[in-house]
Amino acid sequence: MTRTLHPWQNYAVAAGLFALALGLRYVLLPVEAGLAYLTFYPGLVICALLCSWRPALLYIALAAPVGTYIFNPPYYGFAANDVAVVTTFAVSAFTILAALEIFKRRTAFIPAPTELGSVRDTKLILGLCLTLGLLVVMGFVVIRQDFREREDVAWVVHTHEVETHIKSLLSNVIDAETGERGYLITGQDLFLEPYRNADVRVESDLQRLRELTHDDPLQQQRLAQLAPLLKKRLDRLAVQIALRQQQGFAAAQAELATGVGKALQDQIRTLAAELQTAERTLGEARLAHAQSSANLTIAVSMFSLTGAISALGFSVWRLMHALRARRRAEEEVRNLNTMLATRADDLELRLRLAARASNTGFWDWDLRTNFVYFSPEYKAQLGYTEHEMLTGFVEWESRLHPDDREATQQRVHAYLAAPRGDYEAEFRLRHRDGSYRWILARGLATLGADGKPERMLGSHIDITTYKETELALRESRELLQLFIEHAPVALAMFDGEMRYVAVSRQWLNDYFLGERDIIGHSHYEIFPEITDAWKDIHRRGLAGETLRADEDRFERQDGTVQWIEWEVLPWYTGSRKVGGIIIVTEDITERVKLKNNLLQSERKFSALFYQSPIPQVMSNSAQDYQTVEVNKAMAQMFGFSREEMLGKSFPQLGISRDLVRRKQALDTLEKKSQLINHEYTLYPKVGDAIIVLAHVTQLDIDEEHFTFTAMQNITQRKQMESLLVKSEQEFRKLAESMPQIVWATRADGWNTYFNQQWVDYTGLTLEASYGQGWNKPVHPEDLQRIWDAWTYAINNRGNYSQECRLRRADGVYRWWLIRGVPVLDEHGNITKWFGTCTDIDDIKHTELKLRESEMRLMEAQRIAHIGSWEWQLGDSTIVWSDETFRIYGVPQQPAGVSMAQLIERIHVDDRPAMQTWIETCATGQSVPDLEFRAVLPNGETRVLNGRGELRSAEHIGRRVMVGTVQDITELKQYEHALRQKNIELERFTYMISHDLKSPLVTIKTFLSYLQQDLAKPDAARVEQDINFIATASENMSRMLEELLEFMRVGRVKTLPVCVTWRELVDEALTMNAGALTQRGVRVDIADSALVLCGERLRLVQLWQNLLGNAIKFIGEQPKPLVSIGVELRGQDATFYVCDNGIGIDPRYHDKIFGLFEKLDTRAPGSGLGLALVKRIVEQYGGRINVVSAGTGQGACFRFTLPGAISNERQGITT
Amino acid sequence: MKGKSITILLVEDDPAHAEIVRRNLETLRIPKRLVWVTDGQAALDYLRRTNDYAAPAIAPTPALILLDLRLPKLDGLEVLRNIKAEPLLKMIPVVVMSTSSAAPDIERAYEYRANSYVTKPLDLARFTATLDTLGYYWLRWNELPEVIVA
Repeated sequence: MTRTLHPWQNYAVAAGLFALALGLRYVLLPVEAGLAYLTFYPGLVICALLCSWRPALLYIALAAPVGTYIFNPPYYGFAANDVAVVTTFAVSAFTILAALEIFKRRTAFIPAPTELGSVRDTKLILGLCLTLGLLVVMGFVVIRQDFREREDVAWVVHTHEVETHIKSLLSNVIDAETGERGYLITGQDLFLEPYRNADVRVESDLQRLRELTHDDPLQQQRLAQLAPLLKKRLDRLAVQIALRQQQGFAAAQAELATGVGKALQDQIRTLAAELQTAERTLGEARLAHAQSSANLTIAVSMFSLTGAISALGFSVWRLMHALRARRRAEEEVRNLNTMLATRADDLELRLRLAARASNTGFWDWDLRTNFVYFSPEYKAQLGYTEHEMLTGFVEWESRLHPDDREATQQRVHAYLAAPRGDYEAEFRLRHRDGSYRWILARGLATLGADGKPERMLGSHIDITTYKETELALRESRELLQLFIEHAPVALAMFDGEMRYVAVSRQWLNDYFLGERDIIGHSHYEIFPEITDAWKDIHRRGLAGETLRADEDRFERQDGTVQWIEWEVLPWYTGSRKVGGIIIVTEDITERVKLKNNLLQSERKFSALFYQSPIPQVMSNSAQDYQTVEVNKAMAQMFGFSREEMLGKSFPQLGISRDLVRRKQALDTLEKKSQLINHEYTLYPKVGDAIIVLAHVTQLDIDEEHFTFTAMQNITQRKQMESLLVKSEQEFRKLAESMPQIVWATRADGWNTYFNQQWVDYTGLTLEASYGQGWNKPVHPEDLQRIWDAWTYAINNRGNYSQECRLRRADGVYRWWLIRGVPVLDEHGNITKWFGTCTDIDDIKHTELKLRESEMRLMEAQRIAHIGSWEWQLGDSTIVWSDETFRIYGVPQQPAGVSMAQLIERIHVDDRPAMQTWIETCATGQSVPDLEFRAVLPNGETRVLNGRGELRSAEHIGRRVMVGTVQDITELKQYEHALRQKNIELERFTYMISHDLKSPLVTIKTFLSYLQQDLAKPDAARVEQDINFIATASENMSRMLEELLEFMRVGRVKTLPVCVTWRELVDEALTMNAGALTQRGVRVDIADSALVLCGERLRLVQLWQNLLGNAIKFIGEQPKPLVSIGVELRGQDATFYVCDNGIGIDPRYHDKIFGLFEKLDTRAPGSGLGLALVKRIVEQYGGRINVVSAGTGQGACFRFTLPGAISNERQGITT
Repeated sequence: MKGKSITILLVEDDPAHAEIVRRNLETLRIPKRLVWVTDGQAALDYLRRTNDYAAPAIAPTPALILLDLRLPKLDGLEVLRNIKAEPLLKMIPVVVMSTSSAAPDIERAYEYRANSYVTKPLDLARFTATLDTLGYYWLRWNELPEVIVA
């Protein structure tokens, strides 16, 4: 409030208020001077509230002296208590001012410091209140005193008036007496003047006195006493006057002389004096009271003033204190504000700096005017200074890069059309130098009252560098991708979620991922088989650890095992956070395998070395051939432990004692770098010298020279050799004496020995037979075979056994069995072969004969379709002949067939029977033939006949069941067909015997009746008899004709003729035309272009009979209808002839096709029609059936003629 | 001989043969009524009193059935089998008549429990004599029904 007024306005308000108060005071002054000065207070309060404290002080300064002066009119002059009044006003005014100021401040100063709050504040208020209270008391006392003083003055005046009137009363009485005396004396009326008006005047005074002392009963009482006295006196005077006048002086005198008048006068005087005295006493008493009251007032005023000043002083002290506190607080606030202001400035500065530093421009686009403010930074971005270029949206648009213009404009319009969120766009703007800069613009629209954007504010960042960086980054990333992809190791880069970021081709190859696009896919999705252990490794990698393993087993989902060397490295993003991991793996499966193989072979080798039975030693050539390694066999051979031998040369150990020979050997070794079959004598630790055969080889391992020696203890061999020579001679003797040919060869097959039998048989000389000469007598057909077998035996060290023909000396070939056995040395090597040749020609011939007879049997079985089998009772397998296998359709098994296999081939229904049969066989009982069905592997069912017979096979001591099996399927089929034919024949015979006999019986019987009747004679009976005979013979004749016709079907062979179906039907219709017309039958023909080939007559007969049949049994049908047609279904054609006649009871559907079968005896015809139809249909390989729901439901004959369909002409022949 | 006329059911499709039977029966002195049906189904309908023969009045139970073998619709043997399979009908004597004297036909008829098999003789005299003999059989049966049933 105060803030809204200027200082001069404050003063004006204060002056105005003062003038107002002064005016009011003038108005009020006559009314009540004492209260008039209160008019200054409202002004003060208003001034204090409206203005600041300065105008309020001005107000006080004006009001205190001026107001007081005006308050006291000039005639009063300055009085002592005026000072008090001014002081009082001033003090109270200040107090009010202070109180208001505090109130105002409190309300105005919102962040109130605590010093002004609660306790201390209360004290201050209390102090001020006390001050005010004391001032009020003082004011009250002063005002009261003022009133009393005025009252006292009034009383003084009053007393004086009373005295005056008393004096006036007395003087009037005295005047009246004086005048009367004069008259009395003189008798002249002149002297009576003062007397004449005295009574009126006395009465006036008396009245006045009564009024003045109306409140004093004593005075009133006195006045009441005085009034009659005064009357009496005046009346005395009147009496005296009257006496004088009437009686003269004397009388008057006499009268006077009585002294009555004088007594009255004295009484009046006394009373008047009493009145005067009483009044004067009263006045004095009042004066004294006024005096004491004034004293009290002064005392109280002084006390109050003192107290008020003290209280004010206290309040002021408190106020000062509070003010100080506030000033401090204000100081703090000011400091704070200053600080804040500084900071705001700072912030702004920073923002600008930041804007400049970050190259961020700002723009402010007024959409109503299209004016755009561009900040200096903005302009700077485009190469302009602050005061150059550019206002407006159009300018901006014109600077857009042509490629970006449309898209950016669209973006702006789209945003403005629906300003949701922030606007953001990237585009290129033309720089002053003509180049384009990439700009990232962001903005936010503010909406007007109508909800439409009216202003848009935004930033502008030059991101050219960023863009270029991005481009560069992309390039570098592509480079990285390229690098990774073609890195010669399996390398994959993953992000933090283990998704592929990049992957090398090698990786794809190693993990058989082919061309799968796995980028962006999770590693675990690609390899579900990854174990938790691996996942843990990945986690650790993602946590920043670098892990590696040289050899790790990785089992793939498909079960293959890969060995990989891997390394997991975290990669870091720009912010040094782990962005993901890189896994580098190398498929070292092959390497591991190689290593393992190497290790294994090394192990094998050392095992071989140490465990080898061949004594071996390795010595250092440079250190006098000290032993470096020695195997168990060697150590054992010399009776040393391995440790004893290590590090010592053979001479040192005492093994080699012939040092001269050793020297020679070593020299040779130096020259030739190896010694083969070096034989020498060595000495073991204990025992006799041994002869060894040594192979010594020089080895260079890592530029060191070693010798490797393998030895063979030939001590025993040497001893044996002499023994061998002896035993060889013995062997030769034995071989020569053997009846068979005996031979021996070297290990390589080179013949070295034949006995005499060979020479005798072949006629060859031994010399011609040695080496490979033995094959000369071999039959050319057998040569290759036995040579191959021989080569095979040599290579495989197996026994050799072959049959072949050898030419005898006379040119005859005979069969021989050649057998050979390898002779192995202690190491399992073949040293030679020994063999024999045995003449088996006679056996061979027998065998051939046997085989031939077997062949014949087999052939016989094949031709007869009879297989044979043989079962040694109790065996699990049965031996089948080839034909048996063929019959069962099972591939041949030389080992025979198991029982289960046999049962498997038997038809399920026949298995129990077969099992029983086998069981019966097993008990050794003879069994009857068994007919059963076998299901072949191809699903065909065949009927077989089994036959078994028990034999005892002496040579094996067991009983054998021998049997045959015969395929009788065809037989069965023929049997069945035959049975069918028989049934048919039987039926035919039956028909002949019944139906053909029937008319004969009739004729014969009636002929005898005729005889009798002619004899009687009975003309009626004779006629009847003749009729019966005639009918019967007619029937007979027709039946025979029809039967002949029937029999002819299929027997007469004519060339097939091809006719359209329609033609056949039309012909049949013509033949039945009469009956059709007679019965009024409508015929519906579903036309078809089908062509039928066959015997025309028969084909016509089909429809002719069926049509005739339909007309015959049309019944009483009011709308008789016959439908004829063909239904084609692929190659199959079904013909139908349907009628709506009387129909056929389903019970007789089969019977109606029988020969001479009639359902109704009264119906015309012999009952051959449908039988003929059926026969014709069957001739053409077809089937016929009738469909009828029953009597009265009509009937439908449906039939097929596969043999007559034009593309199957051959079918019509019988 | 109770003086009551008996019913003879003739099942024969050939009218000539039926006439022969009728003439032969004329010579028999037993009071009789000849009922002639022409097919097997009609014979069964008559005996079972179904279809056309539903009323007992028009279909009195026959004392003798003369059954031809060769019949339309239901064959004679089939009719015989049906008769002998029904408890109420099986006691009625059935004489099978046929033109055939072939052994299989005769055997089959007896197999189906025909009471007699009569070939339709070419010889009239033999045929009449047969029927006479038949009449004799029937008289004996009529007098001693219990014995036969038992």
